[in-house]
Amino acid sequence: MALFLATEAVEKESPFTELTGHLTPHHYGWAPHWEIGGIDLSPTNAVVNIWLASFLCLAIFWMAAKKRSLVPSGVQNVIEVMVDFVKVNIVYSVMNNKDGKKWFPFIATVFFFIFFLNSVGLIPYIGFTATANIFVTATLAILVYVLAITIGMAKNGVLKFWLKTLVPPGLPKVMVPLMFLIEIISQLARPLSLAVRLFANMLADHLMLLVFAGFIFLAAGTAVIYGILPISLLFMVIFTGFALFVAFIQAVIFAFLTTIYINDALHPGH
Amino acid sequence: MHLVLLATEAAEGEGGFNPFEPQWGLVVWTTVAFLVVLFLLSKKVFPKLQEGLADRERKIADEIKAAEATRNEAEKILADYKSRVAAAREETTQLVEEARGQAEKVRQDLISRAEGDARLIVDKARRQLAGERERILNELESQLTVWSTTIAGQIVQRELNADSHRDLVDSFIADIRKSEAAKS
Amino acid sequence: MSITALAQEAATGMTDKGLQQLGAGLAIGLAAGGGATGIGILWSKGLEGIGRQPEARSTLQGLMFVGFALAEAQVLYGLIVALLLLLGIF
Repeated sequence: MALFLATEAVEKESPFTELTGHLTPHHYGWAPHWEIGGIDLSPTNAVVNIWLASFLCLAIFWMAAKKRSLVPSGVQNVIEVMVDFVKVNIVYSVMNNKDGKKWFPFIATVFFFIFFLNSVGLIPYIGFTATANIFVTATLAILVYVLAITIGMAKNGVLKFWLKTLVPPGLPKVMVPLMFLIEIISQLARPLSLAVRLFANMLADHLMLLVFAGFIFLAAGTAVIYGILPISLLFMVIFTGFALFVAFIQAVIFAFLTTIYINDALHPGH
Repeated sequence: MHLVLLATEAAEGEGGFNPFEPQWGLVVWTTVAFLVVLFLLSKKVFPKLQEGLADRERKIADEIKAAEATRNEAEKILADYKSRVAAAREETTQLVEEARGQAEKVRQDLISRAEGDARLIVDKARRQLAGERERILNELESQLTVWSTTIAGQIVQRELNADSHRDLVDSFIADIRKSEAAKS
Repeated sequence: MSITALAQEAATGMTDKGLQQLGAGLAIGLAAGGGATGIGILWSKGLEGIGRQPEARSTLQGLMFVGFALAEAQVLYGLIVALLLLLGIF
């Protein structure tokens, strides 16, 4: 179902139909068709995107870790600055030293994995971002959330963990049922907001770029093209820059909230 | 390339924009990719990176310590040097003070000597003056005696014994002198 | 299309699609207004804080960007609702 066409097939073909197709995963004609247990696992462009992001992430880290020199330069320097950023501004700004040391690899992986997934979509000619699909972000959010509550239950005991999480201590008895309800909703909202925030941000960036590109196609062959073309291109450049910023900041937010949720699970009732 | 692919695939019912269309394959792939990246990074990369960062931190800490030691030494040397300079300055001041004292003494000496000389000269002059005055007075006295005898002789127009008259005049002048001395 | 829907369209000019588009426009418009207000307040207060205490600049800046991203996300929730309406999923 196309965005602006809906069901009217008689209307003139809109350029937005084709362009917004970029945001939906599609099969390559040449790719094999894999299917296991009724799940289509064939390498669509989204899957290739995930592979590429994972590969780049691993390759750059491998390069940074392999060639250790005391005075860093090049890739090693960039990676070390970012690792330090995650360590200081995300992990240790929330957790204490003991938890931070233990959880730093996980949170750094979340940050870099999402950062690479977000950024790969901004490389020219790729034109697709896996994180602009809610199933990718929801998977990540649910993984992180399930891990957090599992850790919390394992550390504090199942009953104690839920009691402390859902009923904040030091509350008057009258307020307990109300707070219980609110806490359940807030717990459910955590993975949902985590998933939707990342997905919506990445989708909005690419939608914005596609809308400005669509204006060019819409105006093609008419006189206004000379006015539309430079303005659209300028806005596309500006929004690409903004998309780079958002790709970074959303990875930071995701990792930051992950840290907070894990910390909450480790020390419930604070 | 994508546009061409899209155009061919749109015919198969794919490519329309719907971000909420279920994609269970993506769920599986995301999970797999995330777990693989997590495993490799946390087992192979982060320990190494952490180790490297720790190494560097240790090295930097060592260097800071060494630099601090060097600085302490430099400070010590500087303090030593400063104290030496201060001592030299004090010595100089003392020397200057001493020289000034000596100069003052010399000056006082000279002044007192000059004053003594001056006093001697003045005394001598005063004494000479007094002697001269005495002599003049004596002369005047004798002259006065002669003149007064002559004047008196002329006035009385009588020949008198010069000796007896001299006695008379002498006693008279002595009287005058006595009375003057009493007056002064 | 049902008979009643056709009748409604003939009487008022309102179609289901038109209402969907109206709802989508309202959703993203109101969300953007709220988000813009929030981001405006956030940055105004943040800059005020930096002006009053320039040494706290780096701390405040980091927090401001986090707050900015969180406020912006609210706008994008509106965008998602708008898309759901346009696609007729609701």
